[in-house]
Amino acid sequence: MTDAHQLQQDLQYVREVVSRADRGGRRPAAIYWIWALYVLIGYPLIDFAPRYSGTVFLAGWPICFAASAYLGYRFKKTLGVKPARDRSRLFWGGGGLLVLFCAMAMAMTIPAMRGQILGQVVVVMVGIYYFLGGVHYDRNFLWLGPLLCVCGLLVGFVPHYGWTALGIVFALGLVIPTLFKPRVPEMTVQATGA
Amino acid sequence: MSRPTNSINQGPHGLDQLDALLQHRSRLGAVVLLSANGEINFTALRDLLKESDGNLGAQLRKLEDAQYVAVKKEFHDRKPVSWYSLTPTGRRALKAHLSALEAIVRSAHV
Repeated sequence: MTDAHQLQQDLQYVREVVSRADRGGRRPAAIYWIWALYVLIGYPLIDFAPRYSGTVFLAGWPICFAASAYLGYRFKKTLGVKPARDRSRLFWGGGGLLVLFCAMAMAMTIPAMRGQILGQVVVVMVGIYYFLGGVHYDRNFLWLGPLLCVCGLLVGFVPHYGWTALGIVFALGLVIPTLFKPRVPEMTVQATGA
Repeated sequence: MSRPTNSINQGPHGLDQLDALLQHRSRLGAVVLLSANGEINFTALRDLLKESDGNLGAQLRKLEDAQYVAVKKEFHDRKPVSWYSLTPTGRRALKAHLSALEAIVRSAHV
């Protein structure tokens, strides 16, 4: 018959399994490179062809998001997992849409909140969103998020090519960590409650 | 605060609610992992649970017979891959089992 000691050992075993499953939580490097390319094209356009920057940002976001979701799904499948409800997709997709919605709402309701100022506010919001992403999913975003917030504030004081510089910083912040960490974790299975 | 001194042999509250199938740690581990993921294939489960093919296969078969898990076979590069998922019956059983465990822990601390 099972006794308390046996039960304790079994629960310890399950805890180790869950901990093993929770290890990693990484995504394929290609996802970071896609978004790096997106910001590397989008932000310099504000300096060089501002007329097209909004269109590129708006049209590029769903394409990059869909590509990231597909790559993430395929990556997990190769690890032996087909996630039913991927919370990260909800976080990044929903967060991105909320940033977009907030930006549009501000542009429509606050006349002063247009052009450069609106762009700066959006970068600060993206920084906060990335910081939260760092709390939940990717530790590197814990520093990239605040860095983006600072860059979003400072870009208004840079007379030339400030947005281009911001795009470069953003892109580097995304890709540099992928160069130093193993791209394929031991296992990435969500391991939260029933 | 009193120290937990009860053995469950002494019959704390919740013992009779434990699910016999989930008292095996490999089966409990498999069900816990499946509860948080849509589907996991046999190889991933085996690696996570650190079980042998034969043992894990036998444990999963018991869960399958009780309709706690469902299995779907696919072919990948002409090799068969078994994908396991938790059924609503299995999810209910896990919740009940975890509630019983909580009750045992609570009674052990009273």
